[in-house]
Amino acid sequence: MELFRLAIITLKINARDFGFWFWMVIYPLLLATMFVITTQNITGSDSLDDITIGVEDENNYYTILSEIEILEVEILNKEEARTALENEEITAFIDTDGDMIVASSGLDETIVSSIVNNIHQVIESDVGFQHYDFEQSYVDTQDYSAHPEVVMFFSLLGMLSFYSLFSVMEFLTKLQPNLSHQGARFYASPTNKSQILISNVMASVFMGLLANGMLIIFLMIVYQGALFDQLFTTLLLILVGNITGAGLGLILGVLPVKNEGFKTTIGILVTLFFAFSGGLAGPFLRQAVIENFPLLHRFNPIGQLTDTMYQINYMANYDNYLPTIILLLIIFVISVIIAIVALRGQQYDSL
Amino acid sequence: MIHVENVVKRYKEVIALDHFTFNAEKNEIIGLLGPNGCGKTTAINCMLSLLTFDSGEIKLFGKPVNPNDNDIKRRIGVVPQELALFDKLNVYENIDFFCGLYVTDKTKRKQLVEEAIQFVDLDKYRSFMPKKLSGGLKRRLNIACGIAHQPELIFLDEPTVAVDAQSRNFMIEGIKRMRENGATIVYTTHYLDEAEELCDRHVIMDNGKSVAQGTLTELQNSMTTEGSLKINFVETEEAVNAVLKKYPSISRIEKKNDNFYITFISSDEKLSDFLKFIDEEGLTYTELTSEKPSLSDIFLELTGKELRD
Ligand SMILES: Nc1ncnc2c1ncn2[C@@H]1O[C@H](COP(=O)(O)OP(=O)(O)OP(=O)(O)O)[C@@H](O)[C@H]1O
Ligand SMILES: [Mg+2]
Repeated sequence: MELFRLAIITLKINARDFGFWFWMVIYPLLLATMFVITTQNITGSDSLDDITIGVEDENNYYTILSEIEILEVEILNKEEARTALENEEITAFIDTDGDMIVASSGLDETIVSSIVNNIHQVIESDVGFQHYDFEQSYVDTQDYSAHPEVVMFFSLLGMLSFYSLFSVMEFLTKLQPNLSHQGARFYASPTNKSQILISNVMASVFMGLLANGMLIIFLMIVYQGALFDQLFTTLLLILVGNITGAGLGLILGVLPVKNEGFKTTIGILVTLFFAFSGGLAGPFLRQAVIENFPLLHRFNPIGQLTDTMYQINYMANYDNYLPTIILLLIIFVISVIIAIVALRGQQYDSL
Repeated sequence: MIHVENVVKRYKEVIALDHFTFNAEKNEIIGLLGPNGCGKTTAINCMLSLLTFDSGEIKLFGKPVNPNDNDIKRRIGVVPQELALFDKLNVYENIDFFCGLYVTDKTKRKQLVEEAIQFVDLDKYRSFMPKKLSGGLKRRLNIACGIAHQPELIFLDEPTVAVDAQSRNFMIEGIKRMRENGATIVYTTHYLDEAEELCDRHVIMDNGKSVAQGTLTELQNSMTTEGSLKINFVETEEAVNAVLKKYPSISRIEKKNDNFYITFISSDEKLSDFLKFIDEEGLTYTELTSEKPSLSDIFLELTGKELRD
């Protein structure tokens, strides 16, 4: 009951705060609108754009490549291939020796090159390539490149789901006498601090979810549902994202820095960093992180959230669903522990 | 009720409390008086166990202070020196919220909040956001938030700064009523006339020490100055000042309204000598009274400092 009363107060405080409306609702919609304007038509998962390539003759490469669903393989001689490349009718040409020729560099070229490299390796390793699932290797490494805009939307959503951190951070700062004048009142009172905090986290997550919901509705209207094939499970991920965001808010909240603007900046930078390395800045950066900093990718909460949203909505693949939720909840639990330790029965040397 | 003994509090190089000692009995208003930076707020924060201190002992309600003692915290109210309000909650909601940290029963709290609003006379402004309140009204709200739960022990840290005379009197009456209802109040201020009127006992602080404490009479009796002469001269202020400057044993001249308040260096000063001097200098007065030393006289003697705004 008390929890509920305290939660309502957080709701009131946020609802009356222009900053809240701006950062949680207006800014996301502006960003999304910008993305919508700059990206071409986004389509659902069932209509991947195929990449057309040319192959010199019906060799092993041809056999393997034509098995791969997203590739459209044509047999061309070198002369035809050159014209086709110049006219951008094909993305790449693979000659008899397996050498690849491209006319420009780009995402599609990267995909093809990665597949061809894979084939080289398998051939060299002397294992029968019938046993290899090249489609899978494509899915594992390059699937996101097929829909870079989509990844960006999911990544944006993932980042925004973490914005529950600001409301928690602000409130927690008010709870501490060394950080704010209100803190002296809280501290001198017999009220259970954890109860106040729990109520605040609950309310902040609720409002974050509501704000993210508005963005989702906006995107669903714009793209007629194309982005969210699995709406309910996506919302569940967003909910967990908000919970983890609240956890980061707890950590920033107990950070002994009086300047709230500084903390807000850190909050924005951290989420932006996770979002950028997880796909917001486009697939190249994301790929570079996977290759050079695999651990960062593995434990990047926003990156994992982005990947998982993509996988469930565009590949109906739930393999990473539970692991992602568990990762996010673990981060939340760790944050809670840090906050509790930092707040516990503390006395201050100086206020 | 409050027992503070030899408390030392150091902030890195600054000694904020230097063997600070004082006691307060139940049901009295005790004034902590002293200039800016003498350690009043630090003393309160130590008593609230917000701050650690280096040595000494503090007991409230007969028990050593302990930051986790909620039973004691429940009986205390605090009005911080700085405004401590929520910008996004209105007057009523602010009081209700902070009162709710102590009182969870809804009907009881409603009644307490109403009483607090009456107490600080903010009824007209109950739905105002703090931003829309004037400085003095904000101060009043700040007070209401700290005392709404009607605690037994109340710390008021310069509550009346920026509050106009009329509301100040209103609140001073209110604080006296709280005492009548059984509360013990620690009141810091540097308005000495306010302290003189309100406080039962005074603790005079300087540089983190308590230099004297007692009732006004006790303090007056311990002074060497006999107090001041209150004289109403016919002549102009300049003329009077020019003459008085020549009299060697005057320690202070103050002009309030139409009266001169003259304090002498020694209490042995013969009034007849002084009157003779005035006569010889040709000054005429219409009224002359001898006054007991005021708190500011006492303060000046003890600390060598004037305490005025
Ligand atoms: N956090 C701090 N760090 C270092 N020094 C401090 C700190 N807080 C207060 N001080 C110093 O401790 C001394 C006592 O300060 P305190 O705030 O207790 O004074 P005060 O009597 O309440 O003054 P005022 O009338 O201005 O409110 C001052 O010299 C002040 O500069
Ligand atoms: Mg102070």
